[in-house]
Amino acid sequence: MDDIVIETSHLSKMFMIGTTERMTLFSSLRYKLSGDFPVREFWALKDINFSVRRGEMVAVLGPNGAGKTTLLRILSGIIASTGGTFSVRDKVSTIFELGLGFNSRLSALENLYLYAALHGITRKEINRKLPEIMDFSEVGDFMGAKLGEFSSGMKARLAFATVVQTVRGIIMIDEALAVGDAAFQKKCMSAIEKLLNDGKTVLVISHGMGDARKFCSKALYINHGIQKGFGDINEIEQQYLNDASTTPAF
Amino acid sequence: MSHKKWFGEMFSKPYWNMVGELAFSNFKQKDQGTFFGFLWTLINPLLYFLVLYTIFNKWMGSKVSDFPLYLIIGIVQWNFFSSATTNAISAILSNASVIVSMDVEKSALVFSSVLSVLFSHIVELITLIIVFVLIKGTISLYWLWLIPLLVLNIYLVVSFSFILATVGVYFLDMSRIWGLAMSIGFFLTPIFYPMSVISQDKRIIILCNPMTHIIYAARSILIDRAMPAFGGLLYVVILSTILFVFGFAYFKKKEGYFVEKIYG
Repeated sequence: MDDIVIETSHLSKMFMIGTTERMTLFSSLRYKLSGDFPVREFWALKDINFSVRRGEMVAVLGPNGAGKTTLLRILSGIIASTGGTFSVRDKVSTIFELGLGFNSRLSALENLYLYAALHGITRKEINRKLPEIMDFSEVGDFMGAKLGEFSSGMKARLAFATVVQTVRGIIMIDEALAVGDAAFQKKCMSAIEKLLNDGKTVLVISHGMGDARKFCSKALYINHGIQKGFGDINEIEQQYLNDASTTPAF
Repeated sequence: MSHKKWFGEMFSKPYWNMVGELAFSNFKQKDQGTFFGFLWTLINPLLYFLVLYTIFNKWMGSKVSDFPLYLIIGIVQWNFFSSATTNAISAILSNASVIVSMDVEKSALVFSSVLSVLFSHIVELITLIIVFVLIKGTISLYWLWLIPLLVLNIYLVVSFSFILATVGVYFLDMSRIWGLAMSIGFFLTPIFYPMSVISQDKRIIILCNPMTHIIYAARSILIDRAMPAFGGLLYVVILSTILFVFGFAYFKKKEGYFVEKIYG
């Protein structure tokens, strides 16, 4: 089991519901003094144990609110965990929701430079990759236009193209594959295949398994923050689908 | 949380490349990246100058030699402190979309917020020096002292900024509170009046204000063409260091919770 790039052990995350809200200085002092902070513990993740090897693509399955995004956010260092340990032994690029933290008031190109800088990539390096990014995203002439003027499909394409061309080690995708038309999705699939062949690691969130499924070797299934299973994609997917069909539809 | 060697990272080239790009984009957004948009930032100190000069010239002009120059130096120095610290409150908040989508070294966001205000401050300083050359007809080697003074002013601003950026995430009303503090601070700083008009027993209040010493040093350098008084500046160094050590530790302790707090 050598060459493990992501590994978790009893990884847990608790949110203190009630304290995460931002308040005014005055109301916060009032709560502090009175001592009755209206808080409730909420375990978004409990005891998650799994590992991913270099060059592997692993799917994270589970219904809405299962804790999938929370897990990816912890692994990518965006939020802190509460308990357990984890290690990520490579550089992480993420595609969460749409846009990668892109700013709608800046042009596509300016966003690209900013994104690169935030990932420790120089302008020179990104300029070299620019033709490929433009080609892949099919954004073309719009590189100088403000991102606010882009359609959501264009934004998603630009985001995906940027990450694919700049990823260094691990790529974490949060259902971003669902956007884009059929042709673009197909392109994404071949890009992912190429990344895997290059020894990059992919961790992808998915409700249902689309085309991406065929590259996944393993899956992690979580529900209500609890790990239901981790292992071979076919078994885990079957388990997930069985659970979904036995849960009464609302 | 992956433990990053932030201290080493802070001295690396990619870190400052990131700070620069963030500051540049922050700056571009604020002023829409246009020349006239940029002029707006210069109009603020100019308007302050015109109003204060018109009102106080008769009164203060008799107490202070070179009152217009005295006044403009005070305004320019104060303006940097006030705008940079105010900007720092939203250093994290305005980059919420960035920190929720990737793991960035968050201290870079604070430095970049200071840097984006520093651009216009440097333009103001250069304008100021040109005005001095035109009025006085000479230049002075003593003016080189403005460089270490600027570094000290940045240090002071950065020290405040780490604290403000952190509390800015936690409290909704921080920018109002700091706005109030800055309004009061303006009057507690000898910008348009000299120390001599303050009664002896109340001077301590003004002397506790670090900006008093920065402004006085700038005036010594530019108007008197002399070395600044080091006693006051030493106080600023010590105060900034205390604030920086405390503020940076506080920021580092809380930064792991910024995303939860903003999107909670």
